[in-house]
Amino acid sequence: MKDFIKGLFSQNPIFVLLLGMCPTLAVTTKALYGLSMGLSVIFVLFTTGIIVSLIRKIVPSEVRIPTYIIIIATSVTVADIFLRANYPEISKALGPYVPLIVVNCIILGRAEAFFSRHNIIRSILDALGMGIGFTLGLIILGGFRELLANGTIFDIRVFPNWYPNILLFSLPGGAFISLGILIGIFNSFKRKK
Amino acid sequence: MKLSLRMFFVLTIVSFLSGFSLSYIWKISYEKIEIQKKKRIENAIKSVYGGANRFEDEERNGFRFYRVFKNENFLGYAFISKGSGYQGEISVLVGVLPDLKTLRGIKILENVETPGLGSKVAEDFFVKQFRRRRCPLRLNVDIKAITGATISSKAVLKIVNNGVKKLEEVFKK
Amino acid sequence: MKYIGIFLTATFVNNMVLHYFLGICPFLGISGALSTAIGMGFAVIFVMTLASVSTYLIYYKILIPLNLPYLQYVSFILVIASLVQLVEMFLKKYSRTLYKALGIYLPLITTNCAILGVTLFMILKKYTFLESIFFSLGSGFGFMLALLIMAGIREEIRGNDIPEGLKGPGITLIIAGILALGFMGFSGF
Repeated sequence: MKDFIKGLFSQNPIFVLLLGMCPTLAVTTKALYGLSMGLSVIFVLFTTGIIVSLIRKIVPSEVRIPTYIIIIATSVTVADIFLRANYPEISKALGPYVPLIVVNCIILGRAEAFFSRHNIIRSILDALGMGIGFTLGLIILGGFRELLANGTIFDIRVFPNWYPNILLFSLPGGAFISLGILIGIFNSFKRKK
Repeated sequence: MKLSLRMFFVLTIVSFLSGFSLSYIWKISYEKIEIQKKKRIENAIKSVYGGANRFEDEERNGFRFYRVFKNENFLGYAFISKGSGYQGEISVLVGVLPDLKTLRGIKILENVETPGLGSKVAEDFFVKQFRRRRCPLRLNVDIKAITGATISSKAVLKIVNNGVKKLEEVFKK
Repeated sequence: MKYIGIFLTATFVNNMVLHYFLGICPFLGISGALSTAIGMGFAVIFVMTLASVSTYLIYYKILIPLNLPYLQYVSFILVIASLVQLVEMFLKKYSRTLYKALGIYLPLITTNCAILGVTLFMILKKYTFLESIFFSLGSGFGFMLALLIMAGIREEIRGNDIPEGLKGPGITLIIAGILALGFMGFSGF
């Protein structure tokens, strides 16, 4: 159980470990895009976790990195084809950031540090915990930016109509600033505890 | 020796399985992706030509366009025209009436213009101005530019004008 | 002229770091000191250009004729990973000075999303062979530029009074945000 919980808060990949920053900043103009990206990452982590922990005793350590990369890239391609076939609008909006999951440090990092050393059940728990922690971070950041830039969350109006949309937050600059602020809040909250 | 053989086998088997599973998944999804692509274009054409229900696509001299029908009535042509905007490529679906000059309407399919300024080219109030206009269009005579996004507005005009010109040339030959 | 345009756009307007958010990890981690920023920057430019040349050839000469577009991601990342290894071995053998300068950054580059990002954008934007080379060169320079500016600013604010929670990554991200806003001024040319 500890394997699952740690990914959510104490080792949250976005706010604490600062891993996988590219998609985090790029796709979070809206909460919905953050959620879809998060689900894709959960899928990739989950399949990589299962396969890597199953074959961990067969793969010689000299070629483990190339093996992991092939497994990750395969599973990312599956996710990409699935999105293109079923949710073309989301696939268009996420663009090249879906294939870029391949080089997302979270996945290779977990494969190397956790999946290759633990059995399948613990690996699955770790993958889900990390994936859900990552997704939560994406939704929080996406919701924050969408709320300030459009006055909505998941396209549902939250602020009244007279709210002057602060477009800054849907621009690249706003992405950096929002994440900086959120990390600051997260850190000072952790310190008080 | 034994180790390098093992390395070789593991990598070969992993790559083989990866390629095999991907080709299988691609095979079962390929048609669906193509259908989605087609559906997207047809929906865009429908939003320009209300009531359209039959499309024939054709390619002449490397220019791809659609003939749009409502039942048996020929409504006009539609095609996708692309060009660079303020930040990146804008792609526009253009509907042209059978006289090859008058626009039926346009729809912005893709744009990466500045959110809140240039991205307004995709909004109704701007797109509506193109209905029933004759090409070539002139900025601020036929079409009013968006305040603060003159370059994006100009880009859309240019993309539409170029596309209509290409369509005319195809039929001249 | 077209090639210069592509180069400048990739460097300033669509800057890899500040516009596409690629290569953020080294951007946050390494940009502490100017000298490492320069080393990392050159290593990235070098590998990026090599990678885009080889992936271009693989995509258009092998994958497309054989109708295997779905192998794009797998083959690209493998090419990049092995390329980095090759460059490292080559430098080690033939140029000790270059190896000393770039060597320690090379392993980090495989997982630098900017490299894979450039090769993907090159295919997405349907660039020709020459255009791809200029695009990757420009992106590499853009990456180095962002890294250098950031390193400079961070050396400058060392010892400043920053709120506890924002220290480290927090303030770096906010500075990057302001930089990104500044770079928006390059848009539209």
